[in-house]
Amino acid sequence: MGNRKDIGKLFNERFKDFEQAPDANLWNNIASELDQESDRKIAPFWFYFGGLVLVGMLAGLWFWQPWNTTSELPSLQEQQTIVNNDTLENNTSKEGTTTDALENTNTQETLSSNNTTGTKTTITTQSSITNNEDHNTTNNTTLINNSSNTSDSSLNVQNSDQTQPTIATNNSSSKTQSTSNSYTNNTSLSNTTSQTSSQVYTNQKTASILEVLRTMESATQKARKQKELEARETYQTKIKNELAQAITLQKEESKIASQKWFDSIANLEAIKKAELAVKTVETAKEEKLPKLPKTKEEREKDRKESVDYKLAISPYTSILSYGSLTKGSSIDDRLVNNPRDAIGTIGYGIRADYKLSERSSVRFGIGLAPLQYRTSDFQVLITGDNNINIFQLSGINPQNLGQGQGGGIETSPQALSFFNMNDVVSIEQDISYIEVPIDYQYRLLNKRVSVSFNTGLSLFVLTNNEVFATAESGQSIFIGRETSLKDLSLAFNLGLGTHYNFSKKWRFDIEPAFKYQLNPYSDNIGNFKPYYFGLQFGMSYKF
Amino acid sequence: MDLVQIIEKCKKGDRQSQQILYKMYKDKLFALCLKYCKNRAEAEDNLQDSFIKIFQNMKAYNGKGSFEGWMKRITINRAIDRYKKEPFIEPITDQHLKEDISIDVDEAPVNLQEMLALIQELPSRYRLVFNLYELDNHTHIEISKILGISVGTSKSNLHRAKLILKEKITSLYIVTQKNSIANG
Repeated sequence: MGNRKDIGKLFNERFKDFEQAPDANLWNNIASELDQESDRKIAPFWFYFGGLVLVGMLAGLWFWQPWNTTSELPSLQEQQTIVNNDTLENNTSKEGTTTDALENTNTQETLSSNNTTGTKTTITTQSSITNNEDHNTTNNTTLINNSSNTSDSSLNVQNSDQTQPTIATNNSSSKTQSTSNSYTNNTSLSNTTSQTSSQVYTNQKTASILEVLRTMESATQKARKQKELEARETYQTKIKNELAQAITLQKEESKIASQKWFDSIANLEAIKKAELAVKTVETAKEEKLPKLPKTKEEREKDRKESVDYKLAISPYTSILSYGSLTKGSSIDDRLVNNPRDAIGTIGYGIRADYKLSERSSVRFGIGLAPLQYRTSDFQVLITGDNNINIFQLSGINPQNLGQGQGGGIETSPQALSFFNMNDVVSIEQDISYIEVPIDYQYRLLNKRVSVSFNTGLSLFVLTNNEVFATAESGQSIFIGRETSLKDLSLAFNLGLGTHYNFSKKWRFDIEPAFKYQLNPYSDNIGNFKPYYFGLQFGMSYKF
Repeated sequence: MDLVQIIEKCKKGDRQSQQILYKMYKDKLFALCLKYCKNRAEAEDNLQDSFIKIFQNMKAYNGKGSFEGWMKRITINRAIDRYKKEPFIEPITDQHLKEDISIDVDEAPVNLQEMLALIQELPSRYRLVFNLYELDNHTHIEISKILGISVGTSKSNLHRAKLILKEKITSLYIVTQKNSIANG
């Protein structure tokens, strides 16, 4: 038996670095979907507008229904057929005679038949030969009017037979009128003739004229009819062609319109889907996804990122306090029992922090360290020749002195006046260094809040060295400089830094630092071992 | 071009940068999808959805925290959304929780794909809990918040998932052994 292990841990170990490539085409799918998303976002207005225009066009087409021209065609043909009936041509239409046309013809024949039996006075036959559709319509109307005339005992007869001349005779006036465009059929003529035979008989002249007229008219009518038929046929052919073209065109347009309609529907659907998708995305955005707390791994990564840098530049300011490790005095060993204390000062500088490893860095910098130190309760003594004991301290190179009358050095009147007024003063040393530290930093805690231990050396360059006597009233007078302070010295640094990496780029530092000066004096007069303590506050920018 | 530049370009919708980002992380995220989904096809769907969501929400990424972690969270969330509507499984009793869920390492399949198949065959709720707890190191409290279940349910689902895995691994092992004996 091998070693037993928790299943979870087993899987965790096996899948630690598990990676697998998806299908090679997956990116294409993602890209196309992203394209669609961006297209939807670019101009949805035009989709809407285009869709509305298409819908509007379709609605217009639906209302107008131009494709119904095809269904109107038969009616035109019917009318044409009726015209043919009127012109005594039952079968000239290529489309054939419709039932209606036949019925009309029958009706007319019936009317003609009735006419033969019931006519008393007037027989009026109307026939119009027309050259266009409008006339055809008129002709139909005429037919109806004729029917109504029949009920009013004014019988109209229309003959279906062709080439028969029509004669209209007015019985009541016994006068026959013939017109170029009024005709009657043979049957009507014979009936009329039989009914008016006595009159014809008595008027041979009229009969012969009628005969001549009939012959003439018959010939003329034949020719005219023929011409008219030809014209009509031509017209019909033309109309048919035009209609056929119109139908074809209409079909094409209908097809295009239908296609556009289908396309617009498809577009509208696509737009709706897009809207829905956008809404879904927006809704999904609004819905708060369960936020997964960061895993250990992620937290570790965050930590690493926050503390990760190559170089950090840190301007800083510090509160400084100067002092001595021993009880000695740098001014005079006689002052060792006088109370002494540091006066807090403010220093500043800039430091570069170069990372060596995850936990260690080396730091370089430059800063100004102004220091102040006070020796209190100095009893001033002025001797008879105006010599003041403060100028006789071993550690001070006296200044503010005047030329004595005897060629020696004596106290200046200004100093004399000051010390005459103040017999107890404090001696204040003002010392300033330019400090160039080189430190090694080791981070004991390397997290968002990190703690570091710092140690190194600083080069001190003396920039100011003044000693003042200060009265209780606050007045002070410059009395000289420390004699043995070196221009260059070294200091040993120790520090404990706390750093808050509040962002990837920025860090806040607080660092208490202790700096012990190794060789500040050329001659250590009063066993003075100076140090200074600084509390540094800095803001680091990390690169 | 470093990751920050790629992310910035992706935020502007630069397709080339999106493709670079996709190539950088596709394998890792697909592995994640495979673990959380029932099969390869659903894993690919999930990966596609996740990348689209990532690119759409790229502006929401403010640079804080790990970018990979951010993408992983989106991917896992997509998988959770996919399966969390499946039937809720009641907690099992404490008695079940005492059952041994360790296994002899030698019995476990050597092939990673076989192990992946075992995870994928788990009921969705079990699979989610198992993945979140064991493979992505979430606590039961976190899982309860993520899936909207109680801590007890999370624990019991995890335990049940492990029991199922153990049973399957054992069966697989026995079959393999029998075959090897039969084959001499």
